[in-house]
Amino acid sequence: MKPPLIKIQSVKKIYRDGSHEKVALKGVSFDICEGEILGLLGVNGAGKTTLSTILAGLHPCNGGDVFYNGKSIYENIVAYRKIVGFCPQKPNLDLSLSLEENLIFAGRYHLMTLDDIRDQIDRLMDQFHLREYAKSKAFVLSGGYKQRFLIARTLIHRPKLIILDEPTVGLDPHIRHQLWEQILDLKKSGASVLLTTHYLDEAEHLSDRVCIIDAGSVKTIDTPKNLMELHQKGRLEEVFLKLMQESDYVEK
Amino acid sequence: MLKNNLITKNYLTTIYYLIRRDLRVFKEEFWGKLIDTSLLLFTTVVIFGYFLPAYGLKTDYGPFLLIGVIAGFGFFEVVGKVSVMIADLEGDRTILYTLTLPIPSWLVFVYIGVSWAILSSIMSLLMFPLGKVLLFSQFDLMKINLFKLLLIFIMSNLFFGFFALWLVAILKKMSNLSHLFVRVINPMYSFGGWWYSWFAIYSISPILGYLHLINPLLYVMEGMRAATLGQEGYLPFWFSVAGLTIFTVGFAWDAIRRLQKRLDCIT
Repeated sequence: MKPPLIKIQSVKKIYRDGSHEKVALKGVSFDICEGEILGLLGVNGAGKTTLSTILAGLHPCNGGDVFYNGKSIYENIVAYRKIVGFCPQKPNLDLSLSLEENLIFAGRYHLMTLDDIRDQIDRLMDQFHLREYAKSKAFVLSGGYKQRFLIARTLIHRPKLIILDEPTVGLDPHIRHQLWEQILDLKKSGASVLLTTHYLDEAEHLSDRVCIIDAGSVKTIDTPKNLMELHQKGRLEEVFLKLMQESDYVEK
Repeated sequence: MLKNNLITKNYLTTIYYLIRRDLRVFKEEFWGKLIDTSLLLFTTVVIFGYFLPAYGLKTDYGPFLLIGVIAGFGFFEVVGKVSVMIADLEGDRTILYTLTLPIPSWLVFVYIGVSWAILSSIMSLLMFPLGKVLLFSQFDLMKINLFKLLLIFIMSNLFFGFFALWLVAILKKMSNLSHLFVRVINPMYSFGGWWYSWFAIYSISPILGYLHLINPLLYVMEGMRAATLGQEGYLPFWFSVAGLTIFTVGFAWDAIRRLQKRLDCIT
């Protein structure tokens, strides 16, 4: 296994709404290694998106810490954000700007030079098959292309950690499969990918390791192959269902 | 020291491009907004500069209201900005993209306030030549103190930007927006020196005069009129600047604090 890029240590998150409290993460710990795709799995409300947004430097945690290069990310959150690319569930593009303009501005926010941005745009347009839409406004894109472009924008500043929060949700199967290839390409480029997904076939196909979260705690973390062997199942989906049934049983 | 300067430069560069992005988006809406604003100015100036003086209204009421329209333009823009941002917070939350950029969260909100101020000031600025064309000899440009006008113009638009941000922070849902115009915007401009000067209301009732001082829009109107129509008959210019500064800083501080909490930002 490659050395860890990010160390997540006993991370807790509590949402408070007046007197009501909801514990979203109950002390989550694991590492994200350099150049790996780590699938983050769990049922709705398990804490996947909460963890993703904490790792994206968007929200603070209420306990524990996240380390990058041996230092807490909260010591210099702005510097940490430079190495992270966050692709959220809902597209948040500038719909009235062209794809090229969206990418130029995204690069500029990250203090890139125009030449560097142009090089990146060239590469990303080819990688994500978006060249024919480069001058089109973002609102003309279909759901699949929008999602592709959202990932392309996430990559403009060459982040070391790419967080993809349900990147293929709602897409046609053939578009999903095209996106899978592009996600595998990210790994080849040396970046680490945290992939949050509901699709277990997707996690099995793409992930070097999967982390299953249940009710705010890490249930298990291992390679899909090891998990299937350990639980004597032929597919990751079966492992997941077995683990969820076990946790339902424990709760009852 | 050098490191701090570099960090500040980096933050300012990111904010510069965020504002440039907003200006680029604004360019798409420019002509539509120009027509809307011109119509607003045209109707007000023609009625108060030409029609009503025929019924005995003082002729200098035209320039008085012209400055009110120019000064208050950003104030009417507030409703639109607030509704767009609340819809975003309830929907796609595109603001979260900005909050993942390499700048502190408080600076993201400062950028939004400043950007709104710049966009509303562009439209207001264009109203000066149109107002002069419409009122012609009634609007004496020689009375304008350019330095004071520039200062109060910047201050006013910054106030509108941060006031809008504060409204976003306190209005939790889109459904609350329906009350915004009737309960906030309308009383604020009606009792904010839009129709009359502070001295006019003070001469009727000193208590009412002092009560008007709690309305920040009064400082916008009085300051703008003092800078363009001459100091006589208005609150002292520097008093208006000081009042406006206090309100702007107060609204900005509270808006940033509330929005950081609401969006669960890293502080």
